Amino acid sequence: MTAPFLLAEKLERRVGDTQILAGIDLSVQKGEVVGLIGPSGSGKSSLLRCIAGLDPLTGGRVLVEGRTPSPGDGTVGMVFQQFNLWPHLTAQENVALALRLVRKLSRAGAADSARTMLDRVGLLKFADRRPAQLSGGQQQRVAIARTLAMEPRLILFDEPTASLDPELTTEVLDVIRGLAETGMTMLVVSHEMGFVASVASRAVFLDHGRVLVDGPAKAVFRDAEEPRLRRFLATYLQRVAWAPEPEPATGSPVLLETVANPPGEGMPLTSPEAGA
Amino acid sequence: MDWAFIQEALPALLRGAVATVAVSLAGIALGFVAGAAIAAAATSGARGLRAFAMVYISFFRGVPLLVQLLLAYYALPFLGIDIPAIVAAVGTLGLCCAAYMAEILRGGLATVPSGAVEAARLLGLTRAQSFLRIRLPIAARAMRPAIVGEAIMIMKASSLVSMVGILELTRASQALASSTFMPLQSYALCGVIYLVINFVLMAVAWQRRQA
Repeated sequence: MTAPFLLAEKLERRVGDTQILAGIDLSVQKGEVVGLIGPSGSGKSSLLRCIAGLDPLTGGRVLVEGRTPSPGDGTVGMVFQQFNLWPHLTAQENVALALRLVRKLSRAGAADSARTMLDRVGLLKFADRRPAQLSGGQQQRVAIARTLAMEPRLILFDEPTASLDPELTTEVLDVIRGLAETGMTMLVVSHEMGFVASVASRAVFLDHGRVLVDGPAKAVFRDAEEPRLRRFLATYLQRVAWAPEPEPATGSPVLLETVANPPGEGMPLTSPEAGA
Repeated sequence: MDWAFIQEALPALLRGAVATVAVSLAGIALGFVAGAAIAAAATSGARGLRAFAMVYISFFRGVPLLVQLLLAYYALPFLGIDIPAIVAAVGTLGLCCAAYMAEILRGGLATVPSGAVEAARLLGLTRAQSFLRIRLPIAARAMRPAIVGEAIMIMKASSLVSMVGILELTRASQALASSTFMPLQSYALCGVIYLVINFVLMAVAWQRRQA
């Protein structure tokens, strides 16, 4: 057994009387893609922010390749729900700025690298646009390019598609899927269960700041023995048009307006046997 | 108002206008620098600095500028601090402007989304880089209208420094009015010149908005 790539030990974060993370242990091997799922307020985003060093821990420690990462040391990259692009800079400048200021590349060298990265996420032709002139999905892809350009060892995705219209999520998820295939180590917080089921090698279910379930993604979704995980997954299934109806007796038609995942995008997750 | 009057009056008024612009720009420049310092104090971690900034802002926003001018001109010499009228005028305008600028800067920086700063931090930008390259430019867009507004206010408020004997545009018009016995024409011309000066300021702001 090799030493884990990312090791989080007994992470605790408490703000006032609120326990946000209540002793989280997590170890991730290089190249693993871990999907973090759980109800809102369960601590998923806080966990990512603590690993990145954006929020202080009140207990425990984080090691990446044996060292405690600090924000800005290039170890950990993060992609945010709100993209967090810089509105006064073009897409290319957003990607190039840190290359120039932090990596000390020349202006031309940074511009070249930035264009290569934008090409990788399919946005080279929008290099000179400002964020306000891009769709949400395009903005998120620029944000991913900006993170990738700095060649982080580990990338954290904090609900990368949660503020996108459903038809724009696919382009972002495809970029993340492509990244997973290159062997990048990633932690992905997402409510796109189909995406987590198909891309993540491992799924971790958090509730009230604790890890309740941690295992291979397929097993976590298929077996789902933990009662709270079952309830959590069931709320998703109820919103999916092609899901088996949870209460056949009521016979209520499933509303098409509330489709969470368009069919054909990602794999449908296996249902926990309804009513069992 | 006939053309002969304008020809006769204009040179003196324009000299006054130059003084108005000079005093105002000096005041605005001082206001910007001092305002940045006050804004830094207002948002600093030290309680003493924050309290100082609060008292400063309250005083200069709460006491009429004219009273501040008279205090600087009459009260400071009484305390043994003798300053020339022009220093009292520019200093008071600038320190008063600083109180407003501090609030504009503080408010503008507060509008910068924390996520933009967090992204900069994670990508490795230093605090200074993040401030100069990210926070300030984003805030500048939000602050520009308020800063131009403040500059226009100072340009107009500079008419008050005539009270401490500075011969600027308003004072020049008063002199003209009493020497020609044509107050209506004198002050109308004075008003037009103020309008032209401030129109230039507004035009600068409009042009920048389109850019």
